[in-house]
Amino acid sequence: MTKAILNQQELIKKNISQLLAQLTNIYQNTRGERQEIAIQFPPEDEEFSLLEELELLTVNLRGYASQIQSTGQIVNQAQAIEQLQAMRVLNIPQIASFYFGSNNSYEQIKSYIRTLDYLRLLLLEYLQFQSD
Amino acid sequence: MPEEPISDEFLIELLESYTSAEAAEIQQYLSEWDAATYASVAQSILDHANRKGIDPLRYLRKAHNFNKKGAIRVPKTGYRGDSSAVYRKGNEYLIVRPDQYGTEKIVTYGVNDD
Repeated sequence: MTKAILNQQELIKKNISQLLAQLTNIYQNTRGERQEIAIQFPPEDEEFSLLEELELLTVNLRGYASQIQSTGQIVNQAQAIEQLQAMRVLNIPQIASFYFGSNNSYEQIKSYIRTLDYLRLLLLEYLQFQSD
Repeated sequence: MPEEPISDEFLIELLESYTSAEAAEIQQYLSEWDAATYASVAQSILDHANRKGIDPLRYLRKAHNFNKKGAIRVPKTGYRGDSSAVYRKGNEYLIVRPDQYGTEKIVTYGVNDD
């Protein structure tokens, strides 16, 4: 691996760490919106609710990001790449319907969703440098 | 028999501010959890507690005390394509997945209005 690639990878790692902190802040600031969403978008019996989908996505992405932050790598890298590619945020029906269906409202949660997807793309970019 | 040294740096960090009785309680709860995409269960709990702004032991107790009896489970049996299922009751939910032996483990616990 060349020095230039190493530097680029270090930059992505730094960016991932910053995004983790930023996501924590945004999450904590969305409490009011999440309370409202719990009422406006209640769970249907056969589906995960919007908040449950967001929580699962959050945990899956933060887990991978935390591994990179602490060790610089991810166990089972090939599997992680496959999962991250499949985890397109707006492919989750509850999230897509909320994101495109509630114009001019819940802007903080929407920003949180965009930042989560940016984290997913950064994780993929970081892992692709490693597999080069 | 001498105790084995702890090799998980996150577990050391998680336990460091607790009494030995509390540390034992934490370790008991950790066995109910799955590391999922984290390096270890302890890393997962530290990250959950930090994001949710709650003491880790308090968070673990709340997840442990979630009573699956009478909760709605989605899907009703088995798991979704991503191996997850959710139990919900009132404003609380528990997302689970089976481990390699098929035992259901906690991936996350949440409260809708926390």
